[in-house]
Amino acid sequence: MNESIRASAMQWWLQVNEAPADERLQQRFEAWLAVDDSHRLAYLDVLLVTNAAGVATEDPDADARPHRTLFKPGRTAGWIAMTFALVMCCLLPYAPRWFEQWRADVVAPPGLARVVTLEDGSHIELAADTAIAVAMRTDARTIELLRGRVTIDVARDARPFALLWKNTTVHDIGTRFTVEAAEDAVRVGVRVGTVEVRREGEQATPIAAGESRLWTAQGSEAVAWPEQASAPGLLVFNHQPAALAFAQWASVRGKRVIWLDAPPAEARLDAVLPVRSPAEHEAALASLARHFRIDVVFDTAGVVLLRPTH
Amino acid sequence: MSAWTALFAAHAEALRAVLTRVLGDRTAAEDCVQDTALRLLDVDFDSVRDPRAFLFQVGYNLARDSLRRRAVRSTTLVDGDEVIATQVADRDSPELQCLAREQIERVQQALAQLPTQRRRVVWLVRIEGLSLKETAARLGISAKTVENHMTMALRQLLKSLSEDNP
Repeated sequence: MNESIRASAMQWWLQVNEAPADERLQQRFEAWLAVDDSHRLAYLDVLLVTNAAGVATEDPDADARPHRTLFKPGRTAGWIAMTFALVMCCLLPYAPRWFEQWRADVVAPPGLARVVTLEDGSHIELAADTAIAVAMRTDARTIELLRGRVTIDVARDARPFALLWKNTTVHDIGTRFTVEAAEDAVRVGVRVGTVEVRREGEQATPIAAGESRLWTAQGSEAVAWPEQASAPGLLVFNHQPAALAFAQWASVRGKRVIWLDAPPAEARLDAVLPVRSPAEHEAALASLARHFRIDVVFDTAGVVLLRPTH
Repeated sequence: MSAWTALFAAHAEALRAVLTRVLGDRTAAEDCVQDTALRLLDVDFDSVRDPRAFLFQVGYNLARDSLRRRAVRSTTLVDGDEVIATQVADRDSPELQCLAREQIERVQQALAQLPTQRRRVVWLVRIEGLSLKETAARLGISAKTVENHMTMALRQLLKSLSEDNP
């Protein structure tokens, strides 16, 4: 029998079985059959072998059949999905930071401070690893602190100036002030002028020049401002709570702190720690962990997982 | 009702449809279907491993003989060569059931000789009734690769058949 006719017959068998509902295909197939009886014979031969091959026997490849193996090809999609989910779980801790990066208008990278001047002439010093979103509208000037610490020299302008962080709003009245925030703690210090801090469900709190106030989950308290907090090579902690202390360390070290449980709100740290080398950074982290009774669960490039010692 | 009668009743319509299409002749197809029923009655039902496949195998062989007779009749009309007609008619014998059984054995043996992946493809398409796309998804390979495997497998199986029917 002509080999090309046999090959055509095999192709037709494959196509017709693959698309039994395709009427145009079926018509073309019948037209091919009608050309010559050799076509019909060739197709019958294919039917004979495929029918014989379909005789139910014991699976000759039973032990090696794909669904008996761990990596069943049919489950490839499942394995891919599991791998994807695992990768996503690993990346999940970074998600808030990516969201912040996406929203931010100005970012200071880890280990590098930055100063920007807004269109109204206000100066903003961003500590290392700080991100802010800026909204300068015709009726208001608003800075949203996404993470880190900013010190702002507010330019005089008819429009009110406000800094937002979570449920806290700092309304400026022509001044220079600093705000740093981490977890549930926020600290506001004023160098010049006066600000008014409003938090949801609380009365407005005025803070005058030379004053500083700290809010945590436990409430608020007046604190002394750490004037040397940004001194090169030094971490200055002045009555600092755990959340802000570790955030301060992380911003200089260029890492991201993730708390597995809420950080302790009561303990405070007054200390100056040198951070001029990687060894001193690690020593500073160990000192903070010891002082606040924190377990460093995981410390790798970019991320430090922390949990209060139980 | 015998086991063969019940099986025939269940599958006669499907066999009739296939043969009508392949032969392009409703009358010839009907003859083949009826002849299939008669030939099955001579076979011990319990001796057949897959009665349904055997039924179709007999039917297809009858259709093939029918086509050959048709071809010879045409040739005879033109050439007057009645010897060939006699030779072909001899194939339409009670041995056809044996031929069908033998074909199945030959194809099964040829199937066992196929490479593992090719055998998997044939198994999924013919035994589990998957389409080429479904087979491709099951094995994690492309539909084109499945089609190539099927084409190669059919070629090898047809070779085993032609050893019996040149």
